[in-house]
Amino acid sequence: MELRGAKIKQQRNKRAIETGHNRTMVAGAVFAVLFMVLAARVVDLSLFNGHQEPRLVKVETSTEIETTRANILDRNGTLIATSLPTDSLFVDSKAFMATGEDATMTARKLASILPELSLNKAAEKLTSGRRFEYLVRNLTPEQKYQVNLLGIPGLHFQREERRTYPHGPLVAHVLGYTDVDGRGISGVEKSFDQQLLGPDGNLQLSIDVRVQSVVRAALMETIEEFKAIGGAGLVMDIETGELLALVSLPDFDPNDTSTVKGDAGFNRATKGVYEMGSIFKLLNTAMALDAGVVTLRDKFDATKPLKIGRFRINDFHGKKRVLTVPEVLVFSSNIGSAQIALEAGTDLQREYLGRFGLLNTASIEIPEVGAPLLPGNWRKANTMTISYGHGIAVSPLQLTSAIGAVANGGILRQPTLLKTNEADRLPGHRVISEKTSEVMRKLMRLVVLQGSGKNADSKFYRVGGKTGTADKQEGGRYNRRARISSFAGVFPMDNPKYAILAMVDEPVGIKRTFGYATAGWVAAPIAKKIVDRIGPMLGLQPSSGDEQLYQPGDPLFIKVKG
Amino acid sequence: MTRLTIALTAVLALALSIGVFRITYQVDELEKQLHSLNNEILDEQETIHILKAEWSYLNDPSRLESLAKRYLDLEEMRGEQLVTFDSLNNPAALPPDPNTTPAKLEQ
Repeated sequence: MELRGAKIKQQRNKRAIETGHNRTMVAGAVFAVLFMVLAARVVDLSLFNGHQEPRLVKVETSTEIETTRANILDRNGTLIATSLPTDSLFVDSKAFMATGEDATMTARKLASILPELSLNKAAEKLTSGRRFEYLVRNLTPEQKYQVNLLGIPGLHFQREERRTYPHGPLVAHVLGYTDVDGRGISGVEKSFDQQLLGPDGNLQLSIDVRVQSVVRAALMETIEEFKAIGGAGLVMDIETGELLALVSLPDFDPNDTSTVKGDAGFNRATKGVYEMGSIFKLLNTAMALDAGVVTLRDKFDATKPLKIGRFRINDFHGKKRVLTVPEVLVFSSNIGSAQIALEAGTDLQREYLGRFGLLNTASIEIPEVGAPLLPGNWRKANTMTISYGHGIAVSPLQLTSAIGAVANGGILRQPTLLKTNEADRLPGHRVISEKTSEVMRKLMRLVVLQGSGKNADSKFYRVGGKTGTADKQEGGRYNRRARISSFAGVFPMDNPKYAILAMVDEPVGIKRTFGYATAGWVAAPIAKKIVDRIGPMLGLQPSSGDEQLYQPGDPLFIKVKG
Repeated sequence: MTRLTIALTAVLALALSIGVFRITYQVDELEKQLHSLNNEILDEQETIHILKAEWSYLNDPSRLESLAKRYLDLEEMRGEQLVTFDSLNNPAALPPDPNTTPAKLEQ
């Protein structure tokens, strides 16, 4: 019995062990498989880099410093406006008074470092009892160091940003300026305020600081020499409408807003509207030729003044003879131009001036734009005076793009201050035919070769254009002593690329010019200076080859004598 | 057998916890380093930003012009000084330069 019992027991044990063994095997196999999976995952992560690096919940970023206002660059990437960190000094008056220091003494100490601080106001602020009161904003690092050295309790610094314009007044009228809290007040700073405050809001302008500097220097020199009250200068790419330079003088230093006073803050190039005088004869001639009203061979009698009502139209340096259409332009005959305009008629004149964009307010990316002054009732007399640029006032900017359209093949381009690329450029409007534009180029060149624009001719680049001298209106009457002298032109004439406009406000004749302050003496040399300097800068090849001279019998032949 | 297992487990646990602590401290240390490096980078970037503004200020065209007039024996560039590759074939078209004589190739 015992034996049998032992056998059964032995068998039972054996079975139990077998079951245990099997279970261990199964569990082991499961775990082995799991470990295999883990191992495979480790190999995958470490060797094959099958997935990206694990992402941290909090990644420390150091990519860019945070400035509240983005940079403004010129077309070549030169920094022309940026925000720099500065410190502003403020006082915690409670903490200051708790130390029992003498307020007047402290104010005096501070004023020796910070000259803009007023003693009385500072002492008042120090004892005001308020926890926060600005003393001086935007200190230099040197000043901050010295104030810290004083060791006065209760004085603290607050980190701020200050808008800085490294080139000072150079681009002032384009950029505008910002107030002490960094909000745009005028110019590009105002019109792009939102973009500049947003992330990645850097702005690239079409302005080239080198060209801008040349234009400004040339204009400034002339203004000083002729004791003028101001002036404007523009350089525009006539293929794209991009403005490479836009200068208005007098200007201001946008770093120091106290310099924005009166005339200095007024943008003559875009906001001022002026009667531009004889430059309009270019548009008048272009209109008449394009509409087929006259041909180059047509002649007009300029022997005696024209009378219309109480007006008398006379020539400044009259030739007192019959002039062809090219001669009317080259000798700048008011009488001839008025007759051409009469042939064309008021409606045609208005249509063409509208096409040239002179009847509407120009559109440009700054808020300072002036609306043109037009005759309320466009009568025959208006038509005649407008033909030579009187009785209509437009901004220099408008005129520059109109002259550009005359020379570039007849397409009016939208002027812009932003650097554009081919893709987002606006298509222009056709104003005159390509053929008329080609004739006009020849005529513009003739004015500079043989007419009043001689002083604008550069030795290296052929310039074409037209001068304009106009008396200024004061209280409805023309003042013979105050005038606007201007020159509008394009260069190089063999393949026109850039339009130039130089305008000087109220120049006074000097000895060197025999007392003349007309555009030929004042504004044309500015254009020459500008062309001479910016031609090589912009990589333009000097004009080469001989120029075609027109023989008698050619409609473009100009009889200079007689 | 059991004792050995317990001993091994204890040793392993000890080694692992030491390892974990070491790594934790190392990570902390590295994070501190990262933080201070990031701060340094920010400082450097701010300095670069200021220097860029200063560079632009120093490169003001009118300032460069007056400096060049004072210290350099250079003139303003004239249009005739621009030459194309084509005109290099034609020495007559090149602007005359009295200061240089054609250099002779040394053999």
